[in-house]
Amino acid sequence: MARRPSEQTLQAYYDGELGFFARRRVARQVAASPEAQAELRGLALVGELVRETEAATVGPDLWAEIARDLPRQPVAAAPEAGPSLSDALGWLLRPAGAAAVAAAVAAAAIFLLSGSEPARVVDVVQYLDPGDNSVMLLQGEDDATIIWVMEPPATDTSSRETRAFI
Amino acid sequence: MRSSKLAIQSAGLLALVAGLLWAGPAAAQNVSVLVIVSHASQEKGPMEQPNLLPPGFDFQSHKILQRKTLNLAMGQEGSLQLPNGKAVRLRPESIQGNQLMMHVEVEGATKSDLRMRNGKRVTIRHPQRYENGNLLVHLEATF
Repeated sequence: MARRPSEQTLQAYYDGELGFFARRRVARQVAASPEAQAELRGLALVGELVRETEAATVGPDLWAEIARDLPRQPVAAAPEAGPSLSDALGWLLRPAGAAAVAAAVAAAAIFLLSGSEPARVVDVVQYLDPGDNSVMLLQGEDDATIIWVMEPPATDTSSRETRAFI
Repeated sequence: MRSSKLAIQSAGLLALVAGLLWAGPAAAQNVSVLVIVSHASQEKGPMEQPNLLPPGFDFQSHKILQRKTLNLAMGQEGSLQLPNGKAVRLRPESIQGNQLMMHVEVEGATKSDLRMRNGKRVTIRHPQRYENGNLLVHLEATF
């Protein structure tokens, strides 16, 4: 029975960042797993939201600014009040490592889309240490804040390729 | 001379009493934190309280596993054990305006400082697979 690919492997697969053999292996695993297929549909949805948001609301340099700010932001320097979106994401992304960048960009897109107060999720989460995990921040129904901690990468060979998912 | 000294002493005493009365309720203020632990999966099954699930994901079942209310004073730590054996630790720190600062640690997931609004939910997804799905920890503070 084929193994179900990890979330990060699926993300790399969706982004077209796996090598030839890994891509074929994951494609087989996805074909055999309705759960993985559903996750892939979820990724497609998030990707669509990101693209729509980039086109509709986000200035072309925002993500570059976020990436540029990351090395300068100390982990403990969580914003006390009124952070800009890029400042807030800067401290958020750093502990989670590079793999979190894409996820949090997606998260940013989601709360940008979610309505009139895009900084609300960031206002709630003042400091976050996700350890080795990657994290998405989402805005749920009823104004709920969702800290979506991604599953760790699988320990098979394909997981090493997900490291290239920067 | 003597009466003015007495008046000063009385005023000081009054100020002390007023200060104690004013500071007392704030120091003693407790918060009530409702912790709900649920299990979300993409396998078909019963769907309980779907409003707790984040939008945009294709969950096929959602089950409430635990529900506990912790009444905590400022600085007091409360904890709960998840079905996967990991702990959730909460420590309210202070109330600033109408927001509660709370330290939240979900073992194996995140450590965070949250600025919670009264009655507004924060959900943390545990990354470890559990019974073909994942555990969700929902927190809602009342203060």
